[in-house]
Amino acid sequence: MSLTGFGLGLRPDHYADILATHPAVDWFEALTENYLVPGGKPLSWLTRVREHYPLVLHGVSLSIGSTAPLDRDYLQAVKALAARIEPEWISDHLCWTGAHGLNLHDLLPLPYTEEAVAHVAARVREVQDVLGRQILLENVSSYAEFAHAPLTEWQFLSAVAEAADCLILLDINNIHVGARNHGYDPLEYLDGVPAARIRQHHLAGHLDLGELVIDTHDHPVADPVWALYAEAVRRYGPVPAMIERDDRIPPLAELLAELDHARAIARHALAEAA
Amino acid sequence: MSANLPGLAPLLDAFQRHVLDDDPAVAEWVRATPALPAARRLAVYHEAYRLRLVEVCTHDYAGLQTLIGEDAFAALVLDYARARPSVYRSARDFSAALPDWLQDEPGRLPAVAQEMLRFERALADALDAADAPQPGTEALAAIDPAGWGELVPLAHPALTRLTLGWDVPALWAEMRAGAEARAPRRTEAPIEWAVWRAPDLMTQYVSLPVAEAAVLDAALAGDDFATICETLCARLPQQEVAAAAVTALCAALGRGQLAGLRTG
Repeated sequence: MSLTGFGLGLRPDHYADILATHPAVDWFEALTENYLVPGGKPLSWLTRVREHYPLVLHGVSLSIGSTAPLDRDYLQAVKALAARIEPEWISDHLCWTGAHGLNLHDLLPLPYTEEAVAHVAARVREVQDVLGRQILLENVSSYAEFAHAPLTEWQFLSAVAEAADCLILLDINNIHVGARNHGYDPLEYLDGVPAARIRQHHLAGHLDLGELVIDTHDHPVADPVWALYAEAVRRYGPVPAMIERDDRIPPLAELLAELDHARAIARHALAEAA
Repeated sequence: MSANLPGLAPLLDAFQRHVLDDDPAVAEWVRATPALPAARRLAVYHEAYRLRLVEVCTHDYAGLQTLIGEDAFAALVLDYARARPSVYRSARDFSAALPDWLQDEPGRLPAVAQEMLRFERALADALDAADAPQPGTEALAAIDPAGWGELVPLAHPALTRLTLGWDVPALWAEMRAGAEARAPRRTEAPIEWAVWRAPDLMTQYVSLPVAEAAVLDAALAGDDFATICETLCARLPQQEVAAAAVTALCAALGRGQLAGLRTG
């Protein structure tokens, strides 16, 4: 896993621009499920982008925390896609998306319990066996936490990663959203995650409703998230980072400017830490 | 006051019942704060579930939504979700199965809306259907003249055939261009259409003369050239049938609607 630098989420709105202009992006992150298709335009574009850039795959359907059996067909499809485009790594979310064969198409919260740690870790190991590689698990935004759970969110994330021997995609915006919604200290979160397992950061925008913050990916990265990102760089060093935008997607140039801002913050934070 | 947390399985089951049906039982295990009671926190998930399904269907069926109105469209999608909660790994597949559910709901949509649904489904399916060769008219060069009767055109996986009695493709194009809304118009007679993915990967649609419709129908049914000619005998003067069928075959190959020709 040698990827470095700054990436962008690959979105269909930007396919043509990317191939025409070869922008200064170190890598792209492709949404796995968009390319688990038999053929056609999306796969063709992905293959062409791959000719010029490293890629990572980011899924939303693994449902690693579900009590339903792992979807073996899905895993084989992800494995086949990975064989085709050779991503630097594969990630998904520390959550569940449905039970009893249903998919609620959302990243739903898990209870931060030892039972859930053991359950998820066993499934991560199974996934890693099928895919033949370590995966990255991402912390999700949440709006509800279960009461009487003995662990904090970061303790839960860390315990799963250690027990499963997997890696971490640490979403800085999601930490900010969770801190606002649940009232924890985001710096305590950063301090509580094992730095050696962090392979990637996500940066994204959110919707601030005052008493509630929603992870919408439809705004530029907010100032408190940039500040938290600087804190992450001071703690973890130059972890590959990228910007996600999934709605109200602006022209590529706007995201490239935002990515330059991320580079500047990281540079400054690293200089401070040196 | 929250009760002790149950095991993982019953907890997730209760949460799922809330997301699907707004069942409040799980709230007793959700941490509340003075600013945000458990019900408000849980409502984010229930609302997001409904919004997401409507959004993904809007992406595929924007023309249908315009035709029947946003409220009716949302009600349609949510009725569909209640009847058949998603079992798909991608929400796009949930959207793709909407027409199948509507087959069990006769009369739910007026005829023109049903046609818009079928047309937009064909466009969406063409985008990422399986790849296959699109050999063009060069495929005809290898055909033994004696074997024409048994020649079978092979449909490209992205091809859909439609027969439409309303001017749905024109209406759809106008909607996409942002034109002022107008009432759909019934055509004088049903019109044959093909939707497919061209070799440049662009999704295309075209109205078809009778011979081209017959060739594509044969390709989808696995029928041979002799059957195409028999079909056309009922629609064209007999002396024109063979030439019309060959011309139609060339047109279909040239557009990339066929994945090849099978002989013998």
